[in-house]
Amino acid sequence: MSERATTPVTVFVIDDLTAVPGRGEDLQRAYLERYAPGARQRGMTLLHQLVSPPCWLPDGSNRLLFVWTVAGAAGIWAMKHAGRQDPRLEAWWTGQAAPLVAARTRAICADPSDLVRLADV
Amino acid sequence: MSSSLRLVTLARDVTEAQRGETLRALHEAARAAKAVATLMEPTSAGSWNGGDVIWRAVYRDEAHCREVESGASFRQAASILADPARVRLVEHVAFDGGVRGGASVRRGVYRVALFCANRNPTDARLACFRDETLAMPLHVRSIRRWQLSQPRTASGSRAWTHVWEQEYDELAGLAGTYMLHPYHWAHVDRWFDPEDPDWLIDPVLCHAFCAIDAPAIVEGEATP
Repeated sequence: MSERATTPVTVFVIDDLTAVPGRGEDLQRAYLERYAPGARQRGMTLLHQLVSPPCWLPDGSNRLLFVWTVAGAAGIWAMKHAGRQDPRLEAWWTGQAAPLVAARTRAICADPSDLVRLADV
Repeated sequence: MSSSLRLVTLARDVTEAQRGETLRALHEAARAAKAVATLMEPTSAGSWNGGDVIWRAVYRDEAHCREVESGASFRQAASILADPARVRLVEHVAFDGGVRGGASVRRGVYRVALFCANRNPTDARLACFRDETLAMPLHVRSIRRWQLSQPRTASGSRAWTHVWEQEYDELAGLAGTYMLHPYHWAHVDRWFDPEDPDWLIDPVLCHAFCAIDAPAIVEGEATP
């Protein structure tokens, strides 16, 4: 069996956050300090963090993208199950992060070349 | 048709003999109830909040369901279910059929999930959740038959809002294909995920399955 067949597909979890005007830098710092450590414990690896536009806006909304990787479906379920047992996670999103976030989405994605393999279950 | 589904958790501090007696009495009570079709099977290991017994009774219609379950033939069952020395918890939903599809399996696995959509359940969000759930069999091909219903009455741990039932040829179709397909974990599961801004479903849910040797979701088929 090839290594490709036995290695879990890399799955990407993308948090796309729009900061409350003027709070982009605060949100980026809070995310890294309060959210990221727990995410790493749940098996997530931070691949990229991106800011748009690439300068902090004192009166406008920065868009922050955090791109994480997780190992396959098993890694995603492990991450989700661990998160659902942890009340700090809901407290983060609905409490600490809420005053800094104007809008957000979360997308779970994969490379197009991996879709057939992911669906072959 | 109208269905009445119970996930029955037996009392904890009882002997195996007492447990067996309660199960026998429940089977007897189910027979006495004279439903159009009855499924009563032990809940399989691996279920969550699925109790010890899955009891699914199908009636001709809502009136028939009410008549039977409030009548004399159901007294024995009602007495067992209400006895804390024998039964610890009953999750119950009564529903008049839902959106369904596929063809029942002759032998395989029946699975039911009870959900409570209580996080900002706007009409638009509920409709989107329903549509995406009903699209699962298009992607998860191991689902042979399915039905998504909204209970007219519900009781137990939550005020259940959705009954999501499926039949599979074998357990691998549920534990493997259903759980591992990306349409599930990367798309539909966002409604269940407290981390996702679309979160809709209470974290307390029931996931119960059992072996079957006859179709379980008989609604919409010729009277068994």
